[in-house]
Amino acid sequence: MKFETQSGTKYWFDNILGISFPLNTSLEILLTSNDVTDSLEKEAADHQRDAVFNSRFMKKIEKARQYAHQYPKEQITPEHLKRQILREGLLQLTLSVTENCNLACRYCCYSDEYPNTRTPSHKMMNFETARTAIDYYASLLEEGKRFNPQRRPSVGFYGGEPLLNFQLIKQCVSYFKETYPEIDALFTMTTNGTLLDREKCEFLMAHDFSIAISLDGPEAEHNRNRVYHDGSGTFADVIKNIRPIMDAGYKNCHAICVFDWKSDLFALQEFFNRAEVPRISFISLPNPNDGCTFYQRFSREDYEKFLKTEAKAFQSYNHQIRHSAGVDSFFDQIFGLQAGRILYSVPALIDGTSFMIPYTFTCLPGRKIYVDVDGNYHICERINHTFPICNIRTGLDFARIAKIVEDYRSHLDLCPSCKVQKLCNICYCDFAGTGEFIPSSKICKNSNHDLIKGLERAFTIAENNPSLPETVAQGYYTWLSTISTTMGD
Amino acid sequence: MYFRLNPECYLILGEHSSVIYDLIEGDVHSLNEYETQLIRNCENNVELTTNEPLLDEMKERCIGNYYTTKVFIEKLRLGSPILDYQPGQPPFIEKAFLEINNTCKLSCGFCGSRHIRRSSGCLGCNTWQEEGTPLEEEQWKEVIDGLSDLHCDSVYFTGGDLTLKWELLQQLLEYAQKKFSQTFVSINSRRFSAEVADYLEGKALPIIQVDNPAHIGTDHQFLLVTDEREEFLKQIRSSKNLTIDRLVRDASELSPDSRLISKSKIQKTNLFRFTHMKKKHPCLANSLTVSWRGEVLPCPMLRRYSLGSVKEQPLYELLRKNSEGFDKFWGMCLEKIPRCTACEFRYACNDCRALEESLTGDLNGKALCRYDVSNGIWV
Ligand code: SF4
Ligand code: SF4
Ligand code: SF4
Ligand code: SF4
Repeated sequence: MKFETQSGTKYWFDNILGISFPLNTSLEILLTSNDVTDSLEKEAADHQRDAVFNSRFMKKIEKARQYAHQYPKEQITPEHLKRQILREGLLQLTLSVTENCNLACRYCCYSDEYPNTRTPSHKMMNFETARTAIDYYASLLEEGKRFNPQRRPSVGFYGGEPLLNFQLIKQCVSYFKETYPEIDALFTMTTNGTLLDREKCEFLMAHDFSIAISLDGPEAEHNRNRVYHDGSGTFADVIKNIRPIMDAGYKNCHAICVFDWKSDLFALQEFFNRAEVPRISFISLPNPNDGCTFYQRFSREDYEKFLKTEAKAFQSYNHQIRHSAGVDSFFDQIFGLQAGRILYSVPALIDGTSFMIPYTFTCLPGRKIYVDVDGNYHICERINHTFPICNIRTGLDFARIAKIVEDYRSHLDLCPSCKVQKLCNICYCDFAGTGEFIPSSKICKNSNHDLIKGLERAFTIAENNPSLPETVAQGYYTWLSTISTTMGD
Repeated sequence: MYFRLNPECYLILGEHSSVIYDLIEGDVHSLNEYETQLIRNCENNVELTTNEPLLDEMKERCIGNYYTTKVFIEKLRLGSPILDYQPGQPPFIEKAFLEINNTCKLSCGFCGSRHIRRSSGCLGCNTWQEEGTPLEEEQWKEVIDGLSDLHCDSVYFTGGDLTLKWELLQQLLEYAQKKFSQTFVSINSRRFSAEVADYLEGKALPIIQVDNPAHIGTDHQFLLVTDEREEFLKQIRSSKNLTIDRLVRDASELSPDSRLISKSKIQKTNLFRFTHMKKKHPCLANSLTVSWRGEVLPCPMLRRYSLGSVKEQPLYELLRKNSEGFDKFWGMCLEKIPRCTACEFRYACNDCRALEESLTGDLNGKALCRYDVSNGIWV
């Protein structure tokens, strides 16, 4: 797959090696032709030196490609899957302590904008459910420790707004610590921040919680989407509530930021660079899948204006990084880190994992266990509830998980011919229909385009500052490993 | 005009000179001081102002190429470095030595019990002057299960004379069937018979220890323990099924062209080896030894560095509680050995920590090398 950076340099993305290299005309002919020996003649007119180099280079590339990871083709058995989960999975137990929320954020995945997902309800998880799930998780950790003695487990609290069931969170933490003192687990929580009072802040800090606060930027940006049921903004409350945490210099508090086509990226840049604002751990646009209608609120002009601002922000970032490396800003997060991911997170060649899904970038179900308020187990908090992997009464159903993986594999119809497979970052959640996966040929309309744009940008950045993508990625992931055991996926 | 090395070619700087590692062809090209400066500038995207024949030659040999603009060369690599920032990954064990016996009625002059230094002693058998009670069969089985659950790749059964514990060996070989991708058994040639060969067939590969080159056969792996000079070793080295285990009383007795100290210790490189050597020790990495009395050691020859005992805790517990201890040995890449830190060959060189430790008395010592890092010459 060919692409071009802003400087006009052409590169070739090699889908087997997972890396790109600069192109010259004759090399391009060689790469696009299937038969190397035949096309050697085509470039006879080329400069002799180039011809020699190119044909040798092609032979080297061919040799390197032989190291590519071979995915197992055979049927996945429940026994194999269980062993693999005991070895590589079980990184987090996430308890959805309530389906209720005191906010009505406009892009919320449980809102009317997402017809395929559950809707908010007043349901709360009870202690009996939480305790059963915790006991089961602990038993799996016990069984799994001989497969991975170095695992770092974690227990997460999720919602709705988990602080609406703060009582249960407290119960769970003390139950866990008293019953399983030998398990050194990280506690995590994702909250909208509006219910954090001093008592809750102190509790969370006392138990070294990794606290993820939803924060979308300065007041005007945040309040456009993050609102109470009466439509009023939540910004002032959130900022006031996190003060004790920020003032205490508490390290494990971070921001999850969602932006949209109306966002002023320069305003976000200014805001998130302030010392009193928590560092961003994740940033994204609202999920466009799961029947999403959120984007219908934007006009064509909105979208075009957004693209312009984004391009301007990218220019300004590139200008800046020519002179300084590792600027550690909001733009680093959206541009630098993106480049770092593209250049360094793609598992080139043999990647050391024994994973069995050849395409997309999805996890092993069982890497995390998400428990809904009724005690059903799911692959993660992002996937809709029609793909359960069983429940607190029976434990994980490995046969069912194997079937989900098989089903998923069989729906990746477009992927074998995809020219950017290695860069793909799509997962189960993006393919989830109602109880069945949607084939990649239906889902994946724009991904190629986005991934190639990502490549163009990554290489533009790297041309301007060759060490920046790796520095940013290294800084980010090292930090991320202190606040999350699943590297955020 | 700019010149850049290809994705698969890495420039590694030393104190004085440098080396280009070609991870596909496997070559390790040495550069002198001038060439080092030149390529270093090229790699830093400094524009070329003069014609450099060296660069033409490199292009010809497909090591690098000219570019009209500043390009970014994405390097060929194995895996994703981002995974390395993720703690809590399951440990990977590549090989384990199981020393299931510490007795022997032979009395080889080079046996470990005589404190003799050998360059590949780990592949042969040894007995040790150590006190203690041997592990029982059940305990060995628990070790084997533990290794299998940790996805250990290869297992080496060693002793002592294993024919003295033949029944135990048989039990354990049966038990280990299908659990590992390779199983080896070390045995002295004087104990290796047609019967032994028949029994091992399909179950384990014998490594036969000989001290007379005349006893080297063709159908098994041999380990020749010897103090012969390099000229002699050169003639027999070509046989694929032979490892030379050089006796080393003292570094100074080795001839300058000995494989252990001369330029010939620098090996070919490849994607795997290069990636490995950047972070890990060439042979200690991802390896462990369970001694006859249950001690877990970094290698069969490093007797003084116990990482715990399987009599007290299962292997996985030791790996959890003493992960720093294991990491210390596994992560002992040559870059961490003071003598090698600034040497450009540090990702292609060989190293036996046990031998160096024994020669220098220092776990980070280095006696076996004739490369002068500061002046870039082999002396
Ligand atoms: S077709 Fe789409 S889903 Fe499949 S690998 Fe390519 S980008 Fe990923
Ligand atoms: S056969 Fe092995 S264990 Fe026995 S004396 Fe010789 S070297 Fe030592
Ligand atoms: S032993 Fe160390 S200093 Fe000597 S050549 Fe090898 S890496 Fe260099
Ligand atoms: S350091 Fe390596 S080569 Fe030397 S004895 Fe130990 S395992 Fe063998």
